[in-house]
Amino acid sequence: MDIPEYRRQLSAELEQAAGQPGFRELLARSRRGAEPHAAAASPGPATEDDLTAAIAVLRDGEPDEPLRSAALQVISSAVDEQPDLIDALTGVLLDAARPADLRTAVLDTLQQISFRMVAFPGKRPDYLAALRSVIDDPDAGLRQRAIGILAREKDEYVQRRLIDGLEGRSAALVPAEKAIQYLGYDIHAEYFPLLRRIVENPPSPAARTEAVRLLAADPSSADLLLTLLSNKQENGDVRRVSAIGLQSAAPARFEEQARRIVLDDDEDDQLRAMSITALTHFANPEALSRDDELTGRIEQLRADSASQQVRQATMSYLAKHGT
Amino acid sequence: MQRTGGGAPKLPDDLDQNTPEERIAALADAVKSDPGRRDSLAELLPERIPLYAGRSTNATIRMRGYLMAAFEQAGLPDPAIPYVLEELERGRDAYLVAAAARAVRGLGSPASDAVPFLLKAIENIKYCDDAVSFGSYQPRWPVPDRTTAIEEIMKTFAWLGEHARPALPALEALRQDRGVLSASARAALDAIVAELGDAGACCCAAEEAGAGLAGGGYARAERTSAAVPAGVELEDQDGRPVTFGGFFTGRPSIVVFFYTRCDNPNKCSLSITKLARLQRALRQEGWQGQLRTAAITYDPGYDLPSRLSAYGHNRGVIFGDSDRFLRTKTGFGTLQEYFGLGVNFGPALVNRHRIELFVLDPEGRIAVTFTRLQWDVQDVLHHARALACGPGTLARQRRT
Repeated sequence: MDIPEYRRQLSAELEQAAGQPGFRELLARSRRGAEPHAAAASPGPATEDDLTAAIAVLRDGEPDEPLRSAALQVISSAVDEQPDLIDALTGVLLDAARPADLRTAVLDTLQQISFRMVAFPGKRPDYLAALRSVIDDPDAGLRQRAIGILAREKDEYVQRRLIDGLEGRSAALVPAEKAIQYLGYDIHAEYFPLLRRIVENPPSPAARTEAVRLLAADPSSADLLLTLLSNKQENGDVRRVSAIGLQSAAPARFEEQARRIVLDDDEDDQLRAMSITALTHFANPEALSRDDELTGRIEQLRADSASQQVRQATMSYLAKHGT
Repeated sequence: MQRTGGGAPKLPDDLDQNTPEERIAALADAVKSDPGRRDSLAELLPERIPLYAGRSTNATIRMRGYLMAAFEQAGLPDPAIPYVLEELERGRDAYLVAAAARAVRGLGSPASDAVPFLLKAIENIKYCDDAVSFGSYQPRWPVPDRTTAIEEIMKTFAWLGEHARPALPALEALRQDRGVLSASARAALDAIVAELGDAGACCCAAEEAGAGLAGGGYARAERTSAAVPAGVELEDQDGRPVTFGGFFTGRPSIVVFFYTRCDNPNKCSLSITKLARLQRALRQEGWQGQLRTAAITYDPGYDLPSRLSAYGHNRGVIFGDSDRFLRTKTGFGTLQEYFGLGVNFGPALVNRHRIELFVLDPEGRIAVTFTRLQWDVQDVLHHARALACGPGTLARQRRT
């Protein structure tokens, strides 16, 4: 069976199985009093009339959500045979006069098409250009979706705009913590000096935590991560994220700290449990087997700790490294 | 087309890591209308010049792409050609590939030598093409004058005219794969194919052109007078310490530079995969133990032994006393200077590097350099065997 035919059959079967009214029926209902669609009652593959009607539904800014969804479904299932339908969808996405929720639905559909459609590469440049035009849209949800897609593509333009926002050179497109997350998709974006400045002078606590998280990829930030981890007055989330970061950036230095945390009576239990788990799985087994002080402390924690998380971690440790 | 090597890079005027990007863009714009100064743009292409130090990868791409695109109007000088070919052969960034395709149109006259590189560029970029603009530097989107890498490649094929004939079979095949092309690229492709006519008449020409440039990398025999950095301290993939002199003397060596966080699969990942292939070829030919192989990371702070080991194992590398991955514990700068490495660094990691493989003699001196274009396993073996067998062997191998 050829693939387009199989896809059409599957689409029709799914439509029927769902027991939901299809595009034709919804369209006929919305056009009561108007000339009924010729094939309104019959399910089946989309015809040229269906596609024309579906595009018109989107271009008209149809407020009826089920009809809009059905129209997108009709177009989406036909793009493999008619790739230029993507241009119609891109046109709606770019049309600021259309409702934001419609454009958001169109963007979601385009994104689905982008990873399932064999012939999408030919449309990819136009799609990415359209997304770049949308990142300044007044609708925050639409803007954020477009930024997210471009960030995952490691797009130079969106990274430049996000950094401009964080540096205060232009209005921020998204909250600082989201901007940092988006930049984190590309390790080569080289935001590390900016992140270190954010840790020192954060626009929000969430932004600070996100900045610390990304510093894990920067070995030259190991000192900063160590300072944050060692400071018992520091926010708990920041310390835990620093621990993870230090383990990536400087594993040997992390192991020293993890050992210190386990041995310290006055440490946070969650951090202690994390440290034991990390030592269990990543530390040098020979070194651990010679470390009687650590083993004794872990046996003591297994017996005495009030934290179930810590006790569980000690059991895993002793099962792997205990004598 | 003549392929020329770059000498020691000179940094013009006062351009350095603090120079605003916009100044570089203005320089490129000025040279477009003053082609006599085009060589000054070529001098800004070597990766290791201070201009690129401390900048992000994206800033490096923006600057290099804008400079390269200017060669279309200014004319493409010989020293810039290896950089343009490298980008076409290995590039995965649409902006740089588009710029390189434009730069080819700055050649004094069309040449069929460019064909294999343009075809490779299509393969590299067809699934990750993007809308780009050279109308201004750091444009704000939407832009009125956007193009794509494949559209620029098509324009270059059109510019080549009859010299594009060796590409005809591949371009015909691309027409069957139309989904990967935008409407304008498809139209351009159709026009090129129509202009060139029937594919069947010229398959031999295509083979000739491909055979001339596709293999062999970019080899340069050299004997450096620089002192071997014997004291540089290294650590291998198992955490064993060794000095440069301790590992790289006594027998000839083949050494590749790479880093595990390289995101271009056509560069470091491919180089290491080919190093594994080269190791197997050495074993099959009975050279095991007579030649050493090594890969040294550009990113010693991040590429700890466990990461080096995993990266190599995942690509089929055989590790042993004579076959190691290494990171510098001290003295990366000394190695950088000794090898003349084509690499530069942003605030935390590599922002740009070329492909580079060196064949060292038993004293650890650089004997042969393969840079920029991807090297060929047999070509490297040829040079390494000659070193292992002693003086005059290369000449004998050539005669036979």
